[in-house]
Amino acid sequence: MTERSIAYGTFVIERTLPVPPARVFAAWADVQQKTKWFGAPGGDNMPKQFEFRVGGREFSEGQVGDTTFTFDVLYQDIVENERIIYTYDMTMNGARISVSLASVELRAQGNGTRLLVTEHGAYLDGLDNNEQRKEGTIALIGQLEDYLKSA
Amino acid sequence: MLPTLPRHAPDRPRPSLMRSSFLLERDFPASAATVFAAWSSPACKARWFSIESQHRRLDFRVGGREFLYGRSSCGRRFTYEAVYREIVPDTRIVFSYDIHIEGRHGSSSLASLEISPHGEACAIRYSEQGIFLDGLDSPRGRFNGATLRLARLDGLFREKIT
Repeated sequence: MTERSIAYGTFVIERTLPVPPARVFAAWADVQQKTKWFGAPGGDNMPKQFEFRVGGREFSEGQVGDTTFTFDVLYQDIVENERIIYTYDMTMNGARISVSLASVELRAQGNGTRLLVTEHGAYLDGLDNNEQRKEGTIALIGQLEDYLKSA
Repeated sequence: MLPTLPRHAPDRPRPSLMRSSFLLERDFPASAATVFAAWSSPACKARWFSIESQHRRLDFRVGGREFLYGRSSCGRRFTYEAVYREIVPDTRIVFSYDIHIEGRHGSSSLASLEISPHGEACAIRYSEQGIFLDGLDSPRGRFNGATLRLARLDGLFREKIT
């Protein structure tokens, strides 16, 4: 039997992006754009469900080696070009590893955007932790930066 | 032609987020199964959780929703809408929820309950991490509300054993 535990943690990632808030917002809101940066590099990142609206769900399932991951999102607050608030949970081979509350905040800064990504996480049974999630999210935001610079 | 209003007119405050988290630890004179039932059974939960609500619905399963509607002590209409994200019977519950006040989104929170048996009794840890929107809902009120609800729950357990 698994030893049950919950560890809590928060992290913040702040970036200045060279494109206006509307472009950054679209990279989250439009599924065609989001699949270009969100997920494993080179993988098939098309979600099985993508409803970018308050109360909508996003659901993805992916394979890394012999491990199956799921990513299940509920969008809770959306202000166009300004902010997105959502909760998501993840499973690994059927075991839930975390439930998180996340926010993406965008502020115009000159011709660019100040991006603030914050996550509050509940990490379950030692299957994941705040440090690891932060590193993974930093990598994703790096992919977002590369996408926005190349697009 | 109407004059162009600034994007953030005085009646539409600039979007702002406040964050707050807390962890409450309590010992309850009840078994883990009894404490779990107080959260999972609609009849038990109605006795201590948001007792002022005029309407309530609880679908307690992973992916299931809970909905409450009522008026707060200061007369404001509110709704509470939760989604259960993780359930281990008698052991833990993780859920997310949104509060709307007078029809406007006031907060989004992630909450969890952990139950550890201690002989006939049990210890719990209740945690919340919340984002409060546009100054509509208050972190202090949230903390006080959670403290009060746990005290009311504790009172119910004590009634039963005395």
